[in-house]
Amino acid sequence: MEYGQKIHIGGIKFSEELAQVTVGCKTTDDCTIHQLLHLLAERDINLTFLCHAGLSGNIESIFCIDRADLGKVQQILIRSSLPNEQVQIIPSIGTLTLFPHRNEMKLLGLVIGLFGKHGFPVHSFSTSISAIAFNTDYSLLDEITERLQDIFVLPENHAPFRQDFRVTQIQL
Amino acid sequence: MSDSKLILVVDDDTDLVEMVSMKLESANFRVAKAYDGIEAMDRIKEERPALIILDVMMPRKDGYTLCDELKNSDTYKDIVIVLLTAVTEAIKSTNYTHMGGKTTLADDFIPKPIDLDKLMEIVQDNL
Repeated sequence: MEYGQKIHIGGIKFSEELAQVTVGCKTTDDCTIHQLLHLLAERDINLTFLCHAGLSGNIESIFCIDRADLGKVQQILIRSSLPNEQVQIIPSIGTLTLFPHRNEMKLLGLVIGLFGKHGFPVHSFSTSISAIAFNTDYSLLDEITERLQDIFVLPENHAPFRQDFRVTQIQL
Repeated sequence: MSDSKLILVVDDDTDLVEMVSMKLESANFRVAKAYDGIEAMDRIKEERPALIILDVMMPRKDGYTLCDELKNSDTYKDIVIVLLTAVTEAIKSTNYTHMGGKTTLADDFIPKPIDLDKLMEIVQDNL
């Protein structure tokens, strides 16, 4: 690939407005993330993003929830045994997903470079077998996507960035 | 160009598209991908696949609509369509039900979550 040539991708997706919660623990022994996840599940709170990272005995778990569920999650956190300093909440984020990544490290480099150049925050990111997802400020999704089109080419008739319907699970 | 048959995989779940594509490519099929019904129609016009694996619930144009359009078209009615049906009665906010899936003109169906071996059997049986 020539330098400066745009990369063809299949599409870009935006999430709904989300909140990101980061829970830090020193070791697996005192980590209550598992209890926390059980409490979230008991209250039917969906996680749209979940990432665990461990380094030198420190474990950081990051998850995203619907912005509308933040109040319920804060109540759970207050009642949990987690000290305040171990919890960080970003109340308005959006997940920007690019697909497919085709295992191209250049794609990751270009996106990180673009975020850095324009000062867009990356609160967290992860990959799946097809997609790479960046959590950033919800209010910046449109602006970031406009900039991304300087380095990526989308299909002519690509799917819309925002979902035009929403599936809701109900209890039987 | 390879003479292996071309299969179009259409779903707004990008991971599912990738997973199914990898399985098909490992069986020496060529694969095209689309992420909604409108994009799928573009790929069909450009590349005319032998078989389409088509999700039901997608933005802009759903799988039932695309399936009906293709099966009512003289140009495309011979393309084999396998519908993916993930929707159950437990989902609200949509018009889709299992009953809807059973009344389409699709050639075959496979439920989600997909059993990839079962999907391969269906693909092989229909080509």
